[in-house]
Amino acid sequence: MGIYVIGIGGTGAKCIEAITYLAATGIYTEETIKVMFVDADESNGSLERSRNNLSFYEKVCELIPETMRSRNASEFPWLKTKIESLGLWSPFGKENTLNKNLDSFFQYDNIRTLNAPLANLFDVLYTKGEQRADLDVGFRGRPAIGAAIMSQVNLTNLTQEPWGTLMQQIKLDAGGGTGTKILLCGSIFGGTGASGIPTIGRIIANELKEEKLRDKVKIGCLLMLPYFNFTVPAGEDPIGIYARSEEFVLNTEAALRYYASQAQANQPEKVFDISYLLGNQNLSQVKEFSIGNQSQRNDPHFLEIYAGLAVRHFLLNNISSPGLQVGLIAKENIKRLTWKDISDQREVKPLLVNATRFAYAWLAMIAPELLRTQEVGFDKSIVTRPWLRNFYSSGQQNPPSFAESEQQNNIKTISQWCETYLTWLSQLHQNESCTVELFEIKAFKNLKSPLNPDELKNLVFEDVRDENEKKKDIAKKILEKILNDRRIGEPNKGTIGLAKSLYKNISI
Amino acid sequence: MNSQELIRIIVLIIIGGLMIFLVQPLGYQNQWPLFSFDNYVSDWINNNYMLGAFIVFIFSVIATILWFVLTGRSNDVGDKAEVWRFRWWLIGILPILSIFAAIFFCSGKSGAVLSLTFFYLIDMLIIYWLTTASSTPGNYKYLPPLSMLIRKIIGD
Repeated sequence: MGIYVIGIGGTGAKCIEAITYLAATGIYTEETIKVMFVDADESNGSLERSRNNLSFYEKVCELIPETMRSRNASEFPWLKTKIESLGLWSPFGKENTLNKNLDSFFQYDNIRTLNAPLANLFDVLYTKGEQRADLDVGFRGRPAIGAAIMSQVNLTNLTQEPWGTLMQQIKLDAGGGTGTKILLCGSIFGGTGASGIPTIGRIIANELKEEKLRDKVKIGCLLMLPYFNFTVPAGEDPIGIYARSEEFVLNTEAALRYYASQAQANQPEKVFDISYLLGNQNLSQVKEFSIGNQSQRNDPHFLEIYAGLAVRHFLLNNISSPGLQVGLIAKENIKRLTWKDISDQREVKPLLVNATRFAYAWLAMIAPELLRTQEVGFDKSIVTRPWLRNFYSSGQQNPPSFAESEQQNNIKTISQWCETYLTWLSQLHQNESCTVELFEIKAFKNLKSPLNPDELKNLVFEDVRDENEKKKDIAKKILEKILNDRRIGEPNKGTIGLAKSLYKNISI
Repeated sequence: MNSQELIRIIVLIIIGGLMIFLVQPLGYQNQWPLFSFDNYVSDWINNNYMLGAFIVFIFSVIATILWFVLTGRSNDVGDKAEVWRFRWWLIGILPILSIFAAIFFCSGKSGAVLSLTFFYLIDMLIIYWLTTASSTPGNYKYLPPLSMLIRKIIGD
């Protein structure tokens, strides 16, 4: 099956960030997810963070040999899903980088000379400020600007990458008879996402229709309704061209009307087979106002977990068409988010819990011991860390030498993933409008100081284990389980073997 | 503690017990080489040897059990576990003191001191050192001296 996710705009990038972390926890299938970013603001902070995370995740996935990925999946869901980045596409393309504004894009001066009425219409639709606004920072939260640029995108003439590769792969997958799914995600209320999702969705649908492949491909959209707001700083030009959070709801209302009309079952031009709408009644305050570029780096929000869960729903369920499908889930309590509010809780909760416990246990119990082993030497270290002998040696081939650079690099890679994952999770929980009660983040809020292994047992809200079981949730017992566990499927040596054993023995 | 370790503990304590209460008295009784020091040993075995043997056996077993109980209850890992190596020696003083006590109070005949010391030491090594070195579970398994070698020999 071919699975494609296109993240459009800063919010789309944040959705992909969530997908990247959730893919690592194993909530998706073993199919590789191919992702592409669309953004006019190539230096957008959220986009940059998401792309960095993704390329790091691609590196982490290399820890599991390809031949063993599917065999491993049941006992070791961590890293089950590979994600492949197809790259970033900007509607401005690689050319025309000097003047990224509406004026230049539509060659306003030429229109004014050759077709004055058209130029007048252009003036009616866009203020001078909007026409000349530098779009290097994106579409400035103005869907009208984005729509004008996006509408000029012509896929059939697009030779630019990564569109070429994306469309070629989609056509190959669809032509090969394997079910193909494409999900477009982004915000409904901003600039790039709001204008890009319907336009790009339509372009892809039309292209597939021309190739007579539309029936073989399911296209979905994931629309993030307003979930944050911000205050424009006092010094900012009051009539400047930038996103205004007070307009978000109005933008959303208009956009929803459009989607509602497009989603009618009898609508011949219907683009999306399923739509996911996610929103939060209490908007979160963005810490720092930004028009775009690197400073536009919003913290992760719990709603992005729902974006990841919507992707799960899209991938795992049979999307029947024609017909309108709308995924719907709501929190029980407006000011609290608990495990009860998570969709597919029975399958998802254990995977999220185990991945989080794994990340915490690795940083709190394993990484410090490995660091100490580096300091004192392997032979001396194993006297008090006998479990190391299951995975490493002091110089042989099997198990590999602890000092081997590959093993040391793998240790660093896993530690880094654990840190970024826990940081992301911690930020998701820090929401002033809603108390998120999934994990007890006090234990890992500050990753700069050593983590307390004893907190592992208290990491999860609504932990149903009895006190006796919790008492066994300590470093000594876990390390003993690792020491005595000889039943791990390959690869069971080296750092990845240790990671697998840890995951297995902390799983609840 | 896994079942193999538990079985090893029981077997080694039984072997130690057999050595101290059966094989060694038999050796003295039959004047085996190394055991021979006097022609009239039956009374000495009953009055002196058995009491000393009992003291050494009991203290060796107590030290062994103490080691397993304390390490079993401890939650120390990593470098903290290193402290337990010192504790192993500390606990080991108990059976050594019991040997001194047995020799001092129960040797009876001065000719037996050397062989008694030797055999009590062997008994104490079987019951305390070999048992702990071969069967200490979990993160403390390599703390008793030469335990890594012993474990390798027995294929654990």
